[in-house]
Amino acid sequence: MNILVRAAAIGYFVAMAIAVTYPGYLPFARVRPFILGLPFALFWQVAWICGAVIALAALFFWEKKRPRSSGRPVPSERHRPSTHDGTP
Amino acid sequence: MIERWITVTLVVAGYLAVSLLVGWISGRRASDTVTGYVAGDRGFGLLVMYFVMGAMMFSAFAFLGTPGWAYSRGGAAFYVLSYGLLGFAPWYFLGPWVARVGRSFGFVTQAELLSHRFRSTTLSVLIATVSIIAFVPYIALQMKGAGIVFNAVTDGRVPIWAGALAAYAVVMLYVLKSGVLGVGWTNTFQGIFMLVVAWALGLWLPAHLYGGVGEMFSRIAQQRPELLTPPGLDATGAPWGWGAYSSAILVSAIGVTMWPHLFMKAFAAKDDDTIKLTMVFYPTFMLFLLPLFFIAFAGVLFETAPPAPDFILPHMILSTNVAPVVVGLFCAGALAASMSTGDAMLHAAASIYVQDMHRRVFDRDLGDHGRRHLIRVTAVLVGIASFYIAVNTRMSLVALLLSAYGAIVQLAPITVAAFFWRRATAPGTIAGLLVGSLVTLFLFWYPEFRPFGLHEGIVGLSLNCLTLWLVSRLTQPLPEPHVNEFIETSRRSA
Repeated sequence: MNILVRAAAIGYFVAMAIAVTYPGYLPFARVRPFILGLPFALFWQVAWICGAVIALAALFFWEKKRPRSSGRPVPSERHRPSTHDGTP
Repeated sequence: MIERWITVTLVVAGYLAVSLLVGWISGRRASDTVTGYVAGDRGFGLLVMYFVMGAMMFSAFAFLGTPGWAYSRGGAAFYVLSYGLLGFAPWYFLGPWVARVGRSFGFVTQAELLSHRFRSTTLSVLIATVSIIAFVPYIALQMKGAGIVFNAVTDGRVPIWAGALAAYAVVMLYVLKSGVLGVGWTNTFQGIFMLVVAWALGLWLPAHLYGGVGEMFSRIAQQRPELLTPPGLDATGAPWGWGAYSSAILVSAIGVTMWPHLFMKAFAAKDDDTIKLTMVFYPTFMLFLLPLFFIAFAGVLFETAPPAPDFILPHMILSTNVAPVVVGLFCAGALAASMSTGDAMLHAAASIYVQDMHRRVFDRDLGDHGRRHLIRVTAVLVGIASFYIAVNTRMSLVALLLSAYGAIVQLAPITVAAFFWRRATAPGTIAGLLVGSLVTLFLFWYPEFRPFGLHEGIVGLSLNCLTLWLVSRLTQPLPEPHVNEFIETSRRSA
């Protein structure tokens, strides 16, 4: 579950990378409508920045509620420390 | 009536005095060790981390150059908003890993981490060399920026060298005395200071000249609509291309992620949550560019033009008859932007030289005390070298900086491989770094060879990844236990 939440947060930034470059920015790179006094293209940037705070805050509090699993198996489940290598 | 330049100088002197005081006092808590001096005993809390990360990235270039772009190239400047955020977001995930490995193995620099992972002194020296070559012109630019602002607002009465010297003498004192704690706490003060100054002026100026931010943009939309949308204009005033705009965001974002002084600050954080929360709040620092954009756009329809686009901020402040105290505060804000970046770089350059070059090559037995001493000596030398370059600016600083920055970007595949690809080897990373950097440099100086007009950094990165993969495959893998220990340490929660 945690790995899905992490993936969603990463997905936000991938979506942002597309939305602020070519060609994702094209439909929104316009002057009107003005929002909060800003030209739409500038407001678009500000909105993605504010969204990033919300996305990362949501991820942080989600992970805070479920400590110990950071989306990957804990070390002991996968590889034993080096001293155990090669011997049963 | 006192002359304006005297008031301005007094306000700036007051600001410098407070900076010095904050920087001087803050160092008292640090232990007298390399970890204390370079990584603040790994004890930075959220407030300091937020301002260290934020103010460090907001250099004199951001304070003067970005508004200069907005003024002359319009929407092209919006790319700074994107890359700043996209470059920092990976640190939410990467930061805790870096910090855990740093705690476990006692690292305080990026090269220490990577050279341990790949068991290579050559890699350490290579990264240190690239970092220092990138840092010196960057610090020189910060110094020059400080000097130029001071010079402009005092109507030329304070020469550029004197302004730069005054600001950086203060920086030098608190970096020497307090190390990274001095950097951290002064950046907090300087960060708050420049935020307040920028927002106050950014909202006041459009209101004063046009009756509000919205009204200002409406008028620009009627008269110069081409300035309000990306990709904006290029340096000659012709429309800029989407390809160039987009690849500039991509390369800059990767470069920001890899800056060595950013890496080093991850080692200074108290715990994982501190790093993560810093990244949660970091995007709010990007909004700090908005008031600077407002001031720049206020200049678009203004009756007089600055001598050069980069002077748009001081020009607007000086030609709207604001009170001399406000001019002084603005000047101090610009100095704060310059100093909060310059101090971190000065400190990082000296630490990197001693930790990653000197003790690996010249003096392997140098103890903790000796290293701490040497870092301070190196900081003074780096400061003097940068000051010399800043004052004698016949060399093209920006070209030198961009060349070195191209090499910094090339550290990205190595870092990713360190944490994700067990099969990567030292020869692979070194070959990748060299190929990537040299190709980037070549295409930077000979743009006619760029395939499809792509950004030189993208071409370099692709070849870097390819070389890293190929050479790693052909060389002896690192011992499995060593690699496992590193990767597992990074994933283990504290």
